[in-house]
Amino acid sequence: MTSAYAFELCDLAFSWKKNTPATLDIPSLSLPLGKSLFIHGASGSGKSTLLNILSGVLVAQRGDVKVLNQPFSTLSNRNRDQIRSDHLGYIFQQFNLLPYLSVLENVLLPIKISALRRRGHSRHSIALIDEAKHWLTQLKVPENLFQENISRLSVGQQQRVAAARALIGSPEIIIADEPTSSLDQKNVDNFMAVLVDQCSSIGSSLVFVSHDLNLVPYFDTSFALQTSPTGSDL
Amino acid sequence: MNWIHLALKSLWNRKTTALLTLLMVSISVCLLLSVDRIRSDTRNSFSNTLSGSDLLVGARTGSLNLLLYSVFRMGNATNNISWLSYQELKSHPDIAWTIPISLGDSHRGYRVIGTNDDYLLHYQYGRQRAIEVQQGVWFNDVFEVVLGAEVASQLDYNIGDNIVVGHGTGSTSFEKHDDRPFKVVGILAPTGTPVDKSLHIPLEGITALHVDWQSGVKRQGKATSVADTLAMDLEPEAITVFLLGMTSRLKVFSFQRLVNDFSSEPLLAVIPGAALQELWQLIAIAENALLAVSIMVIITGLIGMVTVIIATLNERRREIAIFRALGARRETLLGLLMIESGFYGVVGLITGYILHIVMMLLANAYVQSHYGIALTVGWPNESMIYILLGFLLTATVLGVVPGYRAYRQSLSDGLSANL
Amino acid sequence: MFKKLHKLSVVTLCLLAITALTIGVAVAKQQDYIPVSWEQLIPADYDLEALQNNLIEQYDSEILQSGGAEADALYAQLQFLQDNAPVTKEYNETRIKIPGFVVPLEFDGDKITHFLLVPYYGACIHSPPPPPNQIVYVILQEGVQIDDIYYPVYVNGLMRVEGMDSELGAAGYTLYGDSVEPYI
Repeated sequence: MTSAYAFELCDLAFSWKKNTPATLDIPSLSLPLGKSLFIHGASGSGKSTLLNILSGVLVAQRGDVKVLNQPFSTLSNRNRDQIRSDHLGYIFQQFNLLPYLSVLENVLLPIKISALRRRGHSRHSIALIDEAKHWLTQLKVPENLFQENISRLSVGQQQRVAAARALIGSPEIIIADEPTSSLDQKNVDNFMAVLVDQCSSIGSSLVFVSHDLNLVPYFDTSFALQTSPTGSDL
Repeated sequence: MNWIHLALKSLWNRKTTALLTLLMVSISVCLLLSVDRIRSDTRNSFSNTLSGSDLLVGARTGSLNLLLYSVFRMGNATNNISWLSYQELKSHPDIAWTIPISLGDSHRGYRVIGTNDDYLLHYQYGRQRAIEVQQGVWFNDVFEVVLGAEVASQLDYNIGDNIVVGHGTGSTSFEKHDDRPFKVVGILAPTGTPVDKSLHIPLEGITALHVDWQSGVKRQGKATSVADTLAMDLEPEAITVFLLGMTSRLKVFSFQRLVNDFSSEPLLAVIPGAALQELWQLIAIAENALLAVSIMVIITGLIGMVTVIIATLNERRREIAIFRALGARRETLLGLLMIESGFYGVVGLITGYILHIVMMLLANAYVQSHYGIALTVGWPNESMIYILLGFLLTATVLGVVPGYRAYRQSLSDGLSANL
Repeated sequence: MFKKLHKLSVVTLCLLAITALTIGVAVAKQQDYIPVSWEQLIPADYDLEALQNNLIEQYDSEILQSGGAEADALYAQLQFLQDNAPVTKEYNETRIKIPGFVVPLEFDGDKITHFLLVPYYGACIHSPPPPPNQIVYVILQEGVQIDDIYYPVYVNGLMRVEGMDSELGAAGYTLYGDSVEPYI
């Protein structure tokens, strides 16, 4: 039976050190497939920790974590890493791209690494490189930049390339960790519009973390993280 | 693009650090290879100098000293063997042949050897190789000289030239025998041994040289002419050493005892092979020390390499986070860093080997002319190959150290933006 | 799971078989060489000491102690006896294994290719030296590197005994060595 949820969290608690108050404490949180979620919270509320748990990089001490119906709480490191590789696209706040690869090469990475993503049914073309070009175009990155070294791109353009990389291969979940925090206002709106648009076009669930409450309207649902008593984010 | 490709591209991105680290590893490999090569070339040079002689006989001195001055032309004899004693000893029925040698004169830094036809007949080097006269003939008259290959080429002598011999060894001598020059009648084929650096004249020639000399000083007044000299009895009074071969090698010990117990004068008989082995065991301590030092240098190089990789981890935290986001496992991170350290190992080995060859080729000219040791280039010997393989393995495995650190670091960093 | 076990057991069996075979061959090779001791190289009926004592008894002990021509003559005779101690043909054309100390004669680079094998270290400095039937001339096809000649070795090879009638060679033991091992 396939679950209709991108992820489901139940009674989640995480602390970095034993016997310290939990950094994260979420009784319940879930996201249906194809929907978008805006997570906001002040510094120290455990945003990063939550994202790490959702991507399978961290394991919570207590609680039930299901991602795409897979029991992350009990799966091995290897399996979680594989699921992340196959079904998850990630966008960092900044420095998303590898400086020694061109724009195209950066975008190609996920489908070169994951065979599943490479074979994905939502593919738009047969050649890998055309697939990358397609996404860059969708994200409105100018074609003359495709072969360039990433140092030639503005921050806004870099973030779009990062988004293209996250979307390539049509993963089921896209996680964005404050991707607009280093952009100026004009770029923010452009970026948000095109990101949300593309995510829904492939039916991906978008999980978006930010402290910028102005962005809430772009999303289907939102969730506020409570600041933990210790107030530390890491 | 697979992970290996990615690892190497990442390394190229940090090429300054990478090249310097590579240089460090290469130099340490070069040192190890060179020390080992010099050691074995030195041994080969020494052991290839003399072959086929059962005993070496000289005035009583240390056995190593006798070996060194008589065969390697290093150092000097302290005394001589009287001609009478030599005649008596060589007539022993167990002796198959002898080569008498008289030392003590020089020509422009090269040693002059007084000997006779037995030298051409019986002297051997390498694996029982005889010496050959390449140009001209062996000497047949008192004032004739046969040159070693290097003497002829370095001093640019040809058949027919007349040369003057100085008293005593050393490149400068204030006492010259200019009145009676020697004519070059033959040049020997190169042997790669001290023979090449020697001038060979008859024993009578040595006697003739010293006709006007008394106690090392030339007598004042008119010098004896060549004709008059030849008319004199030029039988030598003494020789410095003689080599000998026995009818049966099993009799070596008893003849050696005979010589050592010789009542007429104090003599020493030495088995060249045994003396050479003594020499090896003497310098083994120095050789081992050098080898130990070069292995220490390799270890230092490897530690340096690991340190550099760990140091760069900090600037690569974002890169590693990106890899993790793309699905890189713990083993992948480990593998990436082992590829890097393995790269330093393999490329360091290759460049170190090339550096070593270049160094040997450059040093050879100097070492050959000053020490008589020929430096060769070639594949390292068996034990060295094992050491190098061990080095490669260690270099690769050491990548585990930064690899593990990277993994731990990525765990705590997660995919967070706080970098 | 069973497939893995099966694979493992096959591999283990192969390894065991190879090991057994190697040991077997090594043991067999060892058995090819007859161990020989130095006493066995002296003909059973020859007693050097008895002969020497016989000789000494013929002289007046006082004359001997005073030195001089007579004493010299005796020593020369004793030495002659020693030098001409006979060899035994017992091990001619036999593969033997014999321990001893190495006195190098010829080198090939680092390796010793010809050497004399003697029963005790320092044969060169001991007086008197070993008689010819207590010395073996060893020839190796491929030389051996010996770091320390203070320690004895085993030499395995084919022993040949040269005849007395040869003009050039005296009677003696020559061993065409196959291998040299440390003596433990």
